[in-house]
Amino acid sequence: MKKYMLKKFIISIVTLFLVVFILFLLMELMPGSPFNNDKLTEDQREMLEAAYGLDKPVLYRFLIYVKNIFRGDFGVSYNLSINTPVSLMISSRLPVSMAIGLGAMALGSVSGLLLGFFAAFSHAPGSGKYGKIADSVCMAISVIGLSVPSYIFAIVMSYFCGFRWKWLPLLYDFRKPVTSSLMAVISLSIFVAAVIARYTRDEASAVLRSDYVLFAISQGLSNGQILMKYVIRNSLMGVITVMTMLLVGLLTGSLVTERIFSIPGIGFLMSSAIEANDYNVVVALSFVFASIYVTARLLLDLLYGIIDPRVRVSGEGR
Amino acid sequence: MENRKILEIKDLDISFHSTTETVHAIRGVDLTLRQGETIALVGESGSGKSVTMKAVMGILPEGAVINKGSVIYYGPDDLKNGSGAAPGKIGNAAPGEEQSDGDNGVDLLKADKEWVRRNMRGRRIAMVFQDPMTSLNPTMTIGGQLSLAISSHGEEKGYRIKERAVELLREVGITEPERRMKQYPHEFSGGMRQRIVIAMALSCNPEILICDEPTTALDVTIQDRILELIVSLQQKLSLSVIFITHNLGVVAKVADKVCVMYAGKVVEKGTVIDVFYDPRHPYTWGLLSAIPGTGLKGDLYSIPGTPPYLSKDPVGDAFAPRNPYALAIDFKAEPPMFRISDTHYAATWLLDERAPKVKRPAELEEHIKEMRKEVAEYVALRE
Repeated sequence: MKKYMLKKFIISIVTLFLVVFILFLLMELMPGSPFNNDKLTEDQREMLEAAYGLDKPVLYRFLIYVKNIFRGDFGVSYNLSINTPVSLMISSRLPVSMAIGLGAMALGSVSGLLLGFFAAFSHAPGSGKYGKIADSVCMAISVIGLSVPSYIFAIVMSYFCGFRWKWLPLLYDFRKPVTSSLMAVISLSIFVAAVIARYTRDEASAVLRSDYVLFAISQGLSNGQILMKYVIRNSLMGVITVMTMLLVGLLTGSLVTERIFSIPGIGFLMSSAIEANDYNVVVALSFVFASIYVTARLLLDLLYGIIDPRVRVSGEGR
Repeated sequence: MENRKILEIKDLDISFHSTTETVHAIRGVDLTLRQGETIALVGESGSGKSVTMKAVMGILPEGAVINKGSVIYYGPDDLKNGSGAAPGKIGNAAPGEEQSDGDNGVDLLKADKEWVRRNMRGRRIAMVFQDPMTSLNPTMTIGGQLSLAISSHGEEKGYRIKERAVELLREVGITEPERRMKQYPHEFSGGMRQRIVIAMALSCNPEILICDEPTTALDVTIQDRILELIVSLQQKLSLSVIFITHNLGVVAKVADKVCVMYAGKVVEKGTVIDVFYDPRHPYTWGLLSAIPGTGLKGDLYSIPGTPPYLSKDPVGDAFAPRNPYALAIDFKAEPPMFRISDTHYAATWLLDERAPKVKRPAELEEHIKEMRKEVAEYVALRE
């Protein structure tokens, strides 16, 4: 297990290094420059480039960049808010996006798992007609959640809960972070819940039809025992994979939802940075996204090992 | 001479419904299991062996509908008095009819499902499935699964559960049981897993053990070991065993009686001696000829054709189209069960007094002679 995790860890580090390298190169290849301003003369532009070190060769700049990353220095913003350290810009916004993302993930997972397990048990062998109807209802809810974009829910909710009935604040407020981000959390969690419900239902009903559950039934185990000891753990493997992917999507912020509730998160920052050609912010944010992804993968592998003894012993990832 | 009845299947009739069609899989099966004996249920895939036994366990798959028939369990007296109300008790129509075998029979098909789960499954009737590779929960230790099985009916409590688990593992021939309790199914070989499955099935001291092709998925070298284990456990624990197999070769090694099934019906039944020495149904002849043996020369025999697909009930004898000895009547009317002796019955028109005398093929006679010695040995060995 230790060897397995060490291997995964080294692979993660190498992946991150490659990500930074490719990002840096891509940015270099992009047309335009942060100083695309008609009012600047050629001399002024060269002066600016020299001041920020942009006149040096690419490889040299890359090495300096990597060296600085280790000190937590991602350079300064060229454009959005000139000369502010990028790390500061990100660190003030990342927690907001992450809190909302984690909240949506938690809410979506719990409701998705409940809905999925309920649906799976409803259409388990021998459940009868009403079970089939219950299953269909659950899956219809899931299809709606999957096909309607989260910003629709966000707009509808902000109209009713925020504007008409005035239950919740319409916009994000630093003084009331919980209540003011609640609508964003809910609207983002609907998609998560729908995806998880779908996967949980499929995985759990496959487990319910497996030979080992049939054997357990033939031994006279109760439905509760079969659920707790057999179904949950064996169906979680597939679900957890999807959960990680969803979590990464949520942690990196949602552009539209953040705009609707004017939440100062990193999704918002990313789109502005791309528009403004602000190299350092884009690269740094991409690096942060990649780190979140790699960390999530690493945690996922660790979780696999905990849940499935086969991974633990053989040391082979899935 | 014969022991008391313990399980009786009467005129069981099951069909499978799907959106497009209905398959009439079991068409009136009768079977009687007596205490301490082993019945082998033999037939090709799809003949209804497993479905019949799943009906007994109450674990029929989705879409299965029991049209008629009953599965009656005759328990020891405590079932009547001890375990409270036994719902679905026999005797609604004519009490006293079942007196000869004790009046404590329970129709498992009509009984309350929860009652069946608590009192029957695992506790009185247990089942071992075909594929040990998929019969065990992959994310739970062997010890955990065994303990769960042991405690499921509240027979043992506390530290006794673990003791019993170790004892069971030792009984089925797992070495170092204490250490192996902490291991997961994937750390065991197929044969070992089947031993564990058997241990789990026996965990609550059932009276009846149903083995659904327990050796089919195993290595040939392991098959005999598992068979020996089942036979020795059966004798030690005086189990009544129903052994499902499509391999007549293993039947002689384990069974007292044989039931040959074809297309959802029992076509021949009798003791091992009856069926191996004096088979009467042409289908049984075919099955016996298909056993590889030293006496048989040339290619291995196989019965021509395939079993009928039971979306329509066959007219006449279901086996007739594949039967080289079929008579004209075979295509018109279904043969009844003809009595050959007190223990031996077969459903073929060849046994009708008006039928022409048909001799078994000479090659088969040779083969039977070969097998006689073997069968006699096995039977003697068990007695």
